[in-house]
Amino acid sequence: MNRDNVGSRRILEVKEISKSFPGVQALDRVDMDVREGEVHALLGENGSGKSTLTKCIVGAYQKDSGTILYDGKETSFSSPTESFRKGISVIYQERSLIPKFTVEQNIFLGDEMQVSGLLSEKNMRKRFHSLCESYGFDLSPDEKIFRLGVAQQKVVEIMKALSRNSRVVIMDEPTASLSKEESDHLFKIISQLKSKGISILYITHILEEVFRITDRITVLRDGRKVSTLNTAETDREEIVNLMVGEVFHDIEDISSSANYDLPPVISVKNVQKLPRVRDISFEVYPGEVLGITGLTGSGKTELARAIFGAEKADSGEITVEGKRVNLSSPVDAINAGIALIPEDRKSDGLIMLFEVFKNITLPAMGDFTVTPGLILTKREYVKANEYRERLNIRLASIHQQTKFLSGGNQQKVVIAKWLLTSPKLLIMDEATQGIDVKAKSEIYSIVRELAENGFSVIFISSEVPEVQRVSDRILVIADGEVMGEFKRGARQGEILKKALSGKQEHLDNQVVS
Amino acid sequence: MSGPAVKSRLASFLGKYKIIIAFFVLALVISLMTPNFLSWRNIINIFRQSSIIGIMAIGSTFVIIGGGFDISVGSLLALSAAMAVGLQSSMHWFLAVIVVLLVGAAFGAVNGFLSSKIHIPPIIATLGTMTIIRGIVYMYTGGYPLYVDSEGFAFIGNGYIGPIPFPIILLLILVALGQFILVKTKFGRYSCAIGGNKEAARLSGIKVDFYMTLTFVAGGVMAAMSGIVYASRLLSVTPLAGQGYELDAIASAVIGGTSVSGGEGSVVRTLIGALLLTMITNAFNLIGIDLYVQYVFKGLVILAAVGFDSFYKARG
Repeated sequence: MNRDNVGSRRILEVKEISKSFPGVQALDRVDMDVREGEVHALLGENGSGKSTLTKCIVGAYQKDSGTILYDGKETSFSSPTESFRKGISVIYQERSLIPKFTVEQNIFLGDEMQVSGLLSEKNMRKRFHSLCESYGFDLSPDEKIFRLGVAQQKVVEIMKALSRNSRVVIMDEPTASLSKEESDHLFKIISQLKSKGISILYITHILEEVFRITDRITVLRDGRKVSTLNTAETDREEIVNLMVGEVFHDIEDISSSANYDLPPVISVKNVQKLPRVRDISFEVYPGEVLGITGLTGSGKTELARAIFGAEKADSGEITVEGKRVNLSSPVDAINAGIALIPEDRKSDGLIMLFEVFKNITLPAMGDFTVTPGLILTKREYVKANEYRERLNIRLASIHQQTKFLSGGNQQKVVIAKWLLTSPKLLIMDEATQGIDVKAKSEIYSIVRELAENGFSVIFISSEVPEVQRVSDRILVIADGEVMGEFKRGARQGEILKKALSGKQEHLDNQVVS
Repeated sequence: MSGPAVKSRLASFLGKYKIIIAFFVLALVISLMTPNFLSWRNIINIFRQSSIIGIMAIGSTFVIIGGGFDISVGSLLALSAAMAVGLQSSMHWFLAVIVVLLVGAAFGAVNGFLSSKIHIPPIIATLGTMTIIRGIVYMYTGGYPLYVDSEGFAFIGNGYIGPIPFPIILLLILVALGQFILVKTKFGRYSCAIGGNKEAARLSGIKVDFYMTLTFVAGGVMAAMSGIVYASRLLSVTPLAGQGYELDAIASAVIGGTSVSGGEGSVVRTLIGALLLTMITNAFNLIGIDLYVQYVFKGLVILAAVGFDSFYKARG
């Protein structure tokens, strides 16, 4: 890619930006700048602050301190709508087009061209064609969005950005669901934009792309900027090391309670759930905590949901304690002794309107009813209070509405409700997301305690350090396949390199085949 | 305690009891304006006039709590009333009542099936069955009114136990039973769970489709029951019976604080909602205000009740 027309003019400059959320310093005095006509990569692990930074730039979050200069002038956008109008647009990972509208309707949505109060199809069509011409797009303006592939939808979003004369386009993992050919096409478009002096802030996990299309790289770690480098003057090794950092978390010396001599509690063979889970096999033994890690979009959550029967797997074989089971619904999984703490506790884990005790007893209602379905309320209270104490759930009373609890306490309610079903296997999907440090470490203790009592746990997280901390064994997943297995005590760098390398190896394989 | 906490407590207190407060405030105002209002006869009158909508609204409460909507219950009232009358030519009235309740349950199951298994939005699914059932009523009656003369059957709508009309006793018993089922049984708990968060309920191992269908069955049975009271009260049925009743039933439930998005509600408060609606009509009649104005006022009451909830919910 040509790097000649990168101007020296700074179109966007971020100075000493800080942003904190309760219990987390998400950004800590971050500096960076984007030059005119530059493709600038923003790299970092999950939770390093990439998305917080972009959200602060476009005004989705308000920064705590620091300044943002756009086109040389200090600015502070109140919302992404405002920044979009002023020329900074974001292409989000999730699609933001209206599926039933046409390409043209979507591009001009919110900025329709009018002549004396009526929509002017003619002017919009003219503008559409001139956009196509100057950037080399090839799309029919009348095609409905839902008929387009993901890649073409990305192109429409880019066109929408260009129609407002965007000068900075932020792309959040734009190739996440694209094939290799589609990615190549996108890179061509990026090169076009660059040649017209448009700057691109490119967020990705895929290092191959970074080296292929970017001019400079900024690496964030734990909310701080680690470094900004010229892409031509660095290599993969250096970048990975910068992302991971040379931190050695001292892993507590826990005594493993995993019993590998016994037959496995669950054995998963060749499970497939397209598009995210291609082919995954593993076993979990009694008293074992199996950590599963991988990047966002690697298929971890989909794997968990398939094992729990939330979405029936396409194919594969699951055996629980030696018996083959058919898990086509959560009811089947619960009967087989499997429990799932879902990734999104608000939308999938809890009924926020419910009083806490009602959430706790929900999956095990059978233990609290007598025929013909009468609820033994006293017994519910006793059990709910017992688990409240056992898990140290902080609340005024079990009659409190669940929505008023803090994230950490809500998560403990989810854990309580599943412990009540006495599962043989507890699957935890990103169980510590969005909760404070203290609650996190309490959850780690709960996991270890469960294992000591002979339960098995699958601990899924994209944060490698916490997986290292609680797991007896770690699987790394990328692109819906197991990329590697590590014993307890493996170094963070090794694990992360495996996770990052996944996509790379996969791309290479595609090229070969 | 901090300011916002006081505010949110006040809001939640008002949210819970506003309907009861509104009910008594309105009753007080009306009784000051019309001396007859608080007479025993008038109070009994209000309760009796509320009984048919009130019984129907018990069912609607379950349906709405479970996240559904059922606008076919007005038609179902007509069919139940017509069958309760018509079947008596070939069987004992008591047997006819049982058959009618089963028919109500069956149509409820159909509504539930269409909503949960076929995934038609409940309001549209029941729009379809509403039209179909009304058609069946016309076919069944031939378009003419049906009459019945049976002392045993007439008791349901016209009898007294002591000084209290039987329809009121039936209403109160069914409200008590409905409230008990809602609060104290697995079915009630699951209905709230499904209406509160369907996906979380499913992932908690609840057979969501089955229990959602059951709420519609409850709605169908209660509509059939209201049809039986209707037929017994008038000892006749026209094919037009029950038109618009579904809207009053839904209004009673939402005025009583049943969340339109599901998950929350109370049968007792639905009863108060139904009484409130009847009370407005009653008071306006006593004062002598035009019927047309009553509609406007009723509409405003519905908007005020739901608006209060929606507004505070949106603000968190």
